[in-house]
Amino acid sequence: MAPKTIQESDLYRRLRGAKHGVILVLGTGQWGKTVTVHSLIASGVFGDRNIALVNYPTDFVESHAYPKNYRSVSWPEDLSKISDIIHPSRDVVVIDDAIFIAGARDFSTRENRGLQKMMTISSHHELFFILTIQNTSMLDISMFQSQDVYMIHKHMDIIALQNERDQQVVSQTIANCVLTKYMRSHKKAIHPKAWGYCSTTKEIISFEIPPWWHPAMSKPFYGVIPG
Amino acid sequence: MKDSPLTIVSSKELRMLMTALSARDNVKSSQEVVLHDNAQAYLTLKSWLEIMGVSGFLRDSLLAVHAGGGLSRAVANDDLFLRLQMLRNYEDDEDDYYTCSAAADDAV
Repeated sequence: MAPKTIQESDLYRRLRGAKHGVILVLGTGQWGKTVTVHSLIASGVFGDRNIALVNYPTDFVESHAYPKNYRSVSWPEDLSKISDIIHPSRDVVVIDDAIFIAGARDFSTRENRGLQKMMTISSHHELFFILTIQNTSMLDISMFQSQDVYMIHKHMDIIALQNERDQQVVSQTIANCVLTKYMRSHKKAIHPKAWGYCSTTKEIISFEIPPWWHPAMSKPFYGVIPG
Repeated sequence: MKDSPLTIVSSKELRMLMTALSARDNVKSSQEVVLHDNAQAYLTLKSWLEIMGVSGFLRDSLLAVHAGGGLSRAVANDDLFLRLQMLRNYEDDEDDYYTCSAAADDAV
């Protein structure tokens, strides 16, 4: 049986039909979370929305061949100014977990408190948020409860899994098994890090690298302290 | 089997099992889940090993080989013990996946 295109998936149909939502890309570092985010964006699922990369170094974005609709934005000190930075109904906001873990910050920091507030009003602003995160224990899961959340799992190693939230252990364990199965059965044709499992729609997806991708783009915060 | 800590399901039920497990946010009881394409043979071997007094590493190794080897994940967290063993013989839905490619107009 030939693989289907992402456009045939429930994930694509649901995102395409939505005006807002939170997409959580979860998994251990170096397993392709960032590529997965940009592969999903490149699929066209968000139409002609622009892509706002939160706290990405501006010179990094400018010096790499991101598509024209990509830009770096700085997380605002005052959330009332958010509309000056992120455009309601027209943006997809990409947040890398590095902005939480770098500098020994935790979820009680200004950034995360601000993020929770932002999630609360995201539906009113008709925004999509995409977060990459190594472990959901790093975030207040209550921030997702009133949102349309889509979970895409990458491989998570056993140490991270044991520290995962109880609610996520089962779904991530299933994801690990499904991902391992497909890694093994397609190891000659598909890179193992390409696989992602959407536990929201129960779909396994091979995320191809966008044509404009460069390996350096996987590490936007390399050598800098995000903030 | 309803009250047993051991649940055996056909691999064809994998998707339904995923749905059920995902919906269960808090699993408090000890549980072992075995996914196997020949659950009866798996149970027969397991029973035979118990009768023969085979235990520990040897029993686990033989069962792992029978189950297709390797693809198991054990998670110990609070009261949760979840073991998923996948298949050696892949099912017809093995290629039931999606490919996420860039749209044709993905301009740079």
